[in-house]
Amino acid sequence: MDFPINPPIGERVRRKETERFVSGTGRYVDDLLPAGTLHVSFVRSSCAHARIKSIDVTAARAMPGVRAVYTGADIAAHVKPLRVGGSSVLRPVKLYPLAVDKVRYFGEPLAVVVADNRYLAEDAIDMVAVDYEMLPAVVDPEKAMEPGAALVHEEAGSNIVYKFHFATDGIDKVFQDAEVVIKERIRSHRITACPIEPRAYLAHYNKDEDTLTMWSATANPHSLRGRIAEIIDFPEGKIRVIAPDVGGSFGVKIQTYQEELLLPYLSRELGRPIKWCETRIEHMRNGRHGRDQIHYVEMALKKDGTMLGIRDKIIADMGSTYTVDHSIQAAALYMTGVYQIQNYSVDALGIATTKTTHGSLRGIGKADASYILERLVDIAARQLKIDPIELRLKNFIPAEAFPYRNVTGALYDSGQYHLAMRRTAEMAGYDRLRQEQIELRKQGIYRGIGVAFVMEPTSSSRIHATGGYASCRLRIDPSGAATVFSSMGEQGQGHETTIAQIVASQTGIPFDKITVIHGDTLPTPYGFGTGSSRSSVVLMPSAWVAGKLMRDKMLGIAARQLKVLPENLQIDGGKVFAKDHPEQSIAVMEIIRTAYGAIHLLPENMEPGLEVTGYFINPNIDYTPDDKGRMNTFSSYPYAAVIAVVDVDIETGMIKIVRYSTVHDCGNMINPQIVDTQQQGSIMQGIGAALYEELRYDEDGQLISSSFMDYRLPCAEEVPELQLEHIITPNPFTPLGAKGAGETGMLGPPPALCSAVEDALSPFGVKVRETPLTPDRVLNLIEKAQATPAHG
Amino acid sequence: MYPASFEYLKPQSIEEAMALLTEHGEDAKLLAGGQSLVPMMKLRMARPKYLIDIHRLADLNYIREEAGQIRCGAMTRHIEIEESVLIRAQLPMLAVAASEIGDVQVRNRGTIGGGLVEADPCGDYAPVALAINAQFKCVGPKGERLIPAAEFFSFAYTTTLGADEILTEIIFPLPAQDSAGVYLKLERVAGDFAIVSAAVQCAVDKNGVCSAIGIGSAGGGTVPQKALAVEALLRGQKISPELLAKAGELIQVDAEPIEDMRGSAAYKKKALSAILRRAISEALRQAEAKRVS
Ligand SMILES: Cc1cc2nc3c(=O)[nH]c(=O)nc-3n(C[C@H](O)[C@H](O)[C@H](O)COP(=O)(O)OP(=O)(O)OC[C@H]3O[C@@H](n4cnc5c(N)ncnc54)[C@H](O)[C@@H]3O)c2cc1C
Repeated sequence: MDFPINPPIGERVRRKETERFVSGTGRYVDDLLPAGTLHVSFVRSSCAHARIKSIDVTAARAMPGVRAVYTGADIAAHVKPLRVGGSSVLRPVKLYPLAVDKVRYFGEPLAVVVADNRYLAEDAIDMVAVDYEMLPAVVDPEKAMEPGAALVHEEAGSNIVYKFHFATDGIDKVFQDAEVVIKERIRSHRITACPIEPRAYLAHYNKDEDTLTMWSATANPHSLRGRIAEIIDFPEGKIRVIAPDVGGSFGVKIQTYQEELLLPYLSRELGRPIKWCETRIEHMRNGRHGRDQIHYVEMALKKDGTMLGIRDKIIADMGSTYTVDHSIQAAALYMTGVYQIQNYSVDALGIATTKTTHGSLRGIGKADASYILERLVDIAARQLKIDPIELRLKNFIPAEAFPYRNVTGALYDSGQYHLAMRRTAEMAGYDRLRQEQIELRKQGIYRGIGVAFVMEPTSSSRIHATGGYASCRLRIDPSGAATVFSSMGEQGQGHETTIAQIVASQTGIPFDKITVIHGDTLPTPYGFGTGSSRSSVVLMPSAWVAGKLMRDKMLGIAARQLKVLPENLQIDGGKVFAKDHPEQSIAVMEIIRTAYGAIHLLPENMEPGLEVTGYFINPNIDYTPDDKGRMNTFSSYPYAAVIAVVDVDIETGMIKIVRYSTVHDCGNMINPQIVDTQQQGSIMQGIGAALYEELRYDEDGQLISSSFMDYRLPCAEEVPELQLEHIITPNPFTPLGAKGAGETGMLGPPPALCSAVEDALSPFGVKVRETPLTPDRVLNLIEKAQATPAHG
Repeated sequence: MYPASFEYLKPQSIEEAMALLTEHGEDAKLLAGGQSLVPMMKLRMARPKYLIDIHRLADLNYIREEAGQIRCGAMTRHIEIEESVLIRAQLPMLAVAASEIGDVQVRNRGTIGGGLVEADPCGDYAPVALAINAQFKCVGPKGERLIPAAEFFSFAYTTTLGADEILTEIIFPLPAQDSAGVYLKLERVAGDFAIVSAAVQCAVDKNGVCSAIGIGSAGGGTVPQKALAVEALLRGQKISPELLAKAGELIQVDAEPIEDMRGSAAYKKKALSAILRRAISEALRQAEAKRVS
């Protein structure tokens, strides 16, 4: 297939954003302070689950500098509840900006103090007295399912708030007849993304204009605008949401939060700008959490390693004010991953617990699926005594089978799995590594070689949730510079650069003269949030469409003046000229002047000006399932093969990553530099998830890892030697041939490192089913394995 | 992240600081590098009404060698200890301990005195101080006194220093020329507090016998320990693998580690044993190398 990827598309163009970020001239919500701003602090629940008997705010109201104090009930009397749940299967509940009669997780906001500055607000929240009637914390999702368990939402009638079922005909028979069945309980543990900038909001209701401006560190400005309009009943057209520079999202800023919806109300009530910037501890307790699924999963195989089927039961901990179900569905629909498995069944349950709300996080649901599947494949390989690479090669979907319809109806656009796996093995020196491993073991060094192959469905389209399309409005200004208004904001993805590359390639306007405006609902066209790695799949093609419309228009103007057919014209070096007679030319500037000022020279029926909007719709999406429950909700399927080498210290349980080799395929790359950095950051985030990071709750539902002292992120010294290569299998369904590039990196480390540690400790016969691989857990694995007779 | 209000006081001398401390008593806190105190204030777990800033008192910032001792002013910063040519040459394990504290931002501001008074159960200086019997010089209303390292730490985050006393100097006796010291720290990721750590200073004679040994460790309990029993076990002995294994067992006997995100008590005991044995082996190796050179 031929892709129109002319320079500067595909080049390592320097990012337009970099300079302001590294020189400290970026502008974040916290940098803004309109005159008269008031500041808020939240009174937060000190327990996981309780009825609020009373809240005494009299002392707080009397504190110096305090302008107002509101409880949840005060607010609920004046706003509409939030819409919760993106689908019909999710049991709906009503949610208000502050807890009303019950608190459902540790740290839930239940009252708010508005004061002249944040310090005074914090002083006042200390004076708010809350009387609780304690209810049992619901911490363990499996216990929460049992009859008689305390209910998180009484009106829902059960803690099982979501159910999903899928099965192919005859699945049980496949398992009955199978030569080998591998059966495990594997859990992906709870983590969060930790963007460098926590949440931050500033709402400003302007009384004279009767307008509301909301600055938010959001990845979803247009949706936020709609929700504000809805809950405070204010015309959407009078609300402007601006996401200035945003210090990372990784999914956690794509959803709307309780506090985010409260500030506009407060500003309108008090007629003053209202600001709140979250502290890190608040973020750990209140920002969205991710993962946290338990899978009871089985795989049926032939003795020769041919995979026949998978049966899965998923128990997903949704936390308290559950808002989305796609974490569960994404896991349930992709448990067969990259393998040719056409027999499958799944029962997925979403469970409400008294923990922080579960939500989007880089690799949502798909990371759980790929991790658990790859664990299972490794365990099978070991049991069948087949090399883990061989077992994978034997079962991969072959390159010639693409586009491939998987068992749940997903349509994988393209892939060369065998090539990627083999190239990774070659790059890592797999055979040599195996030799070295034997030598090192003789010296008492436990080296492990881990293998993983992960696939990341990207660019999801769901009714009312992610829309399935994106757009860019492109204007060539009379001066000859171009401005692009993007429907999606950015939080570090580099859209200002990649959109400009695409527009430059199409229109011939120099890259440096193209400005990209995003994250502001006033000038930009409507669009959905930046997530699901959809920018390169759907947003960039919309820029391409806009560029194409613009190019056609420019060529049309030139054609009339040069009397040459448009298809025989070319744009280059600031001119449009006839391909065969370059001396027949017209300056681009002349075309621009014509479009704006000499419209009598325009072709018949052409509108004046140079302003176009390009839309792109996610290809191949099924919005509703077929009669067998099959559907495709994602448009592109990037993947990565990984070989990780680790040394495990069997006395301390410490893991050192010796090398991490990966071959990644996200199709055509608009800017390989940006893809590389996305991979690097994403891989580090995956390493954190595999080895260090964990949100741990105690029995009473208190989050015990709520600061960076306890929730450890990897830092520069933990970065391993990284070998990163790409193979390019273009996505045939998008004009640029690109697939998502933001998340695949994060999926690799958990399965690859578990595989490597299990391999290193194979002399003891350990099996890894729980993460993170803390040194404590590693020693436990060894001890448990030693206590039971070693197999194989 | 928003401390309660407080008043900031900046004395120009130790005497003035003493006077302010006496005047405000329990309401006051000394501010050194602020790397432990300020985070606690931001969490409102510490709410001093007065902060007496002694961080920049020049009289408290020095490193010098005197009469077989290295003396560090209490306000000497971690980075200065890490980079001190004198300490690197004479007491390398102290420089290593300093270099492993937090990150460079923390080391640029945090001080040795603040670190010791903070008495984090897993602080990096204490094991070194305990291994070689450092002494802590303090001034109070009743004058000066010296507290031996082994009597300084009384509980987690608690010392025997009086609320009205200021730690002014840390005195490290210089170990014999032929002895070697090793500080080993086990940490989850770079810049974290230790899970466990051990400092070992020892010498070996020509028969391979351990002629002198001092051991300090952290992570085995609420306070860092001087491992007297292990020292006694090894002193005057040729250290065989069996004896080393015994040392590793002995250190676990009285250990009651704190359970936290860094590990369970059971894990920390095992880790402490491993780190101690490694530190002893490495110190012996270095001491032997010194002896033959
Ligand atoms: C991110 C981070 C990581 C860290 N990692 C480590 C680590 O790995 N290892 C480690 O050991 N430490 C670590 N620390 C703590 C660091 O070493 C601190 O610098 C140290 O604990 C306190 O020293 P300070 O000078 O900052 O004292 P401050 O925080 O100013 O004071 C600490 C306490 O000591 C009191 N005090 C200070 N000086 C005196 C004095 N002269 N006399 C009497 N009382 C006094 C203060 O009143 C206060 O109660 C870390 C800190 C941070 C923020």
